Amino acid sequence: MWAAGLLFGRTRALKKILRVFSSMRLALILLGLIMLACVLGGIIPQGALLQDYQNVFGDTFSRVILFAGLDRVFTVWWFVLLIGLLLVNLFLCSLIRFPSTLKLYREGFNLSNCLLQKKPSFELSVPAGSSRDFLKKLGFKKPLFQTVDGVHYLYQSRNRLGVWGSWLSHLGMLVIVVGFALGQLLHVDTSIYGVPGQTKQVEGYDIAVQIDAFEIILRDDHTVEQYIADLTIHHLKDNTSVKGQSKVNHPLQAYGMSFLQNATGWAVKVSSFKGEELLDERIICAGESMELKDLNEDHTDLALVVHAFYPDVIMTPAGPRTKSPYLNNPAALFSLYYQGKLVGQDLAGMGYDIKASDYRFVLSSPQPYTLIQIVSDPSLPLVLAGGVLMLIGFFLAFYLRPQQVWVRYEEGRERVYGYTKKGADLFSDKAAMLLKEMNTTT
Amino acid sequence: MNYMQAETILFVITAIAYLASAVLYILFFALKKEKPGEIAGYVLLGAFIVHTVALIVRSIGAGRLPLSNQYEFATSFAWGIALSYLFFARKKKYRALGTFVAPVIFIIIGYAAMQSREVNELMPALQSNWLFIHVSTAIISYGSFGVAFGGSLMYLMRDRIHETEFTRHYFPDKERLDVLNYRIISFGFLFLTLVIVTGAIWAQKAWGRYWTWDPKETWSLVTWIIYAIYLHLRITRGWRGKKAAWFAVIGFICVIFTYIGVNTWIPSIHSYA
Repeated sequence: MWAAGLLFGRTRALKKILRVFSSMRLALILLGLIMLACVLGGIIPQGALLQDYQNVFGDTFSRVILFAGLDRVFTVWWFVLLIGLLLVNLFLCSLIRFPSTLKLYREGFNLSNCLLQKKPSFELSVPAGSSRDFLKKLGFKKPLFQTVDGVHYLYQSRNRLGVWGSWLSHLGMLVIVVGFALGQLLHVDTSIYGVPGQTKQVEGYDIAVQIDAFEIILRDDHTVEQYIADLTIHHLKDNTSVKGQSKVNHPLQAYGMSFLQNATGWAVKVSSFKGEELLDERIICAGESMELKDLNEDHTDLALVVHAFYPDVIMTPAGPRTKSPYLNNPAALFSLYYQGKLVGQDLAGMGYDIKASDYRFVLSSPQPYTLIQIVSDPSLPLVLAGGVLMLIGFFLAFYLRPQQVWVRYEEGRERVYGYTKKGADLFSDKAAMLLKEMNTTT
Repeated sequence: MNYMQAETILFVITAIAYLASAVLYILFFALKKEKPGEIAGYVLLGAFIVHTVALIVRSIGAGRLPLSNQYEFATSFAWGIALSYLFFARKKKYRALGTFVAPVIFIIIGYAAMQSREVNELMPALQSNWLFIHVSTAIISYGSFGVAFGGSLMYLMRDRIHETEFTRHYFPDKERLDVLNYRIISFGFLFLTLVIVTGAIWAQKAWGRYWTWDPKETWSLVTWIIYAIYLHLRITRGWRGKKAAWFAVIGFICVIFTYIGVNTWIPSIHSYA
């Protein structure tokens, strides 16, 4: 008795929990909270530093932002929890509603149910013998003749598929959220950069990217028409390779990964000398440095940092700028560090000596580099399928409204009834207009 | 005269015609006289035709569809509202809806007029067929929400309008207006979903990730959630009438913020749009 009571109590509690987690009320609360989080995440800059927030929001609010994780809303634990709860809600909702939707689809459309309908969408009288024609014009071309309790009827239903609309759209959303969550765990997003002739291995993968050529196509007004990188992707384990082109909007696909032409900048060849002896020679992209370490006791830790590159430099009150994207007057803004301390900063043209005691750096051969983004997301087909399911679901829900009509044969007249759960006024308007038309023509 | 000069003239005619239509609709509403409303309908239709020609001329002149900067999207947005209005409110009994929609069209055209009308070449990221699909679905969706916004304002004012023979003719009753707003929002919502889906597909091709929580994406999602809540509340909880109308108004404010606010105040990778 006691065990049965406990079991019954547990079952009841479980049912209650299930009801709460699958309820529309919870779905709406979760959607509202997710929306609020999105508003905050859409207004508060994400991933900034405390000082940046203090400049905009003041000290107290900035601390609240950091404490509540509003600086990284979309990855903070409470946002993930909200999405998780929504996922549970969508799953339970889809699971629970499936049998009833299937039952409605299979058994819900028949004359017996219609005859129980107390509030049909419309009820009209048509002249005897004209009901088939009326139904045909209403879009019901193949009504079936049936007899119930000695009364003759014509009956037809249509757009039954529409009952799946809401269920499919929820399933689609569920698939998208699952796909997105999987994508967060499984996706690859990394990059390499370099100039033609260089081959860079993708960190953590047996893939190397060889940059065969890189071209920036400019228009007459100096705006960029397209960035084109010719690449060879090598699979280091299989010893195979794929050649192709990567342009903006047209990534190269190889070995399950997409290679996107993402960004560009300038690189220069930096040669370092001690007297006339060449010590090092490398291609350095803007933002990178060349360090000369432990050369001798007196001159250790010398570093040259190339901050920016100007292909056609001009001096303005705001500092150096470039006049055009063409290499007419190239120069680089550099800083020189000795043992971590800044010892000089200036602009240097190509071929000029940047001197530091016995050492000198020479910049030459400026050329654009390309940044190739390498991405892969195995969950992509799932997310796409979810999107398609959701769209189909909305279409069915909004535009494939299940409708039923039946005609009751009475003495000297025929009464036409129609029923639809959604869009009843449109349905009845259409029927009334049709009747008016028929009456006018006769 | 080149294409751009022709487009400028057509744009000015369009703006004046939308203004005239808005004024006539207001007169129709205020004076409760049939004639200004009838003329307003024709003027709005004329403005829409000239507007369509202006967009075609700009497309020919620019060698692409006018969908890629603030001016082009604003003028296309206004066109989308006019198209949605002409489609959804084609029946005579919805004529008074023009009083609330025509001023919205004119305000957006006014916003377009304040933007740079220069024709810029497309940056590489925008050179995609997805631009047409993504932005044109946005125009249809936003246009529908614009009409629903007008319809909701009308709904909220409906109680204050004294019932006469005139209002019975040209003002839909509250239930019909409510249902009309629901239908327009359903249509806009379907297209907004399409906007987000097509945008995600394009983003995957252009940026390597279909969703990055960029402010534009996030605000589109906020708008989508608002209308999703509206549809759920309406279907399952029977939220109709004023509550639903307020939701539609808030939804459209969100649409405007997504379009103008995000571009103006929040740094975004969508800032060209």
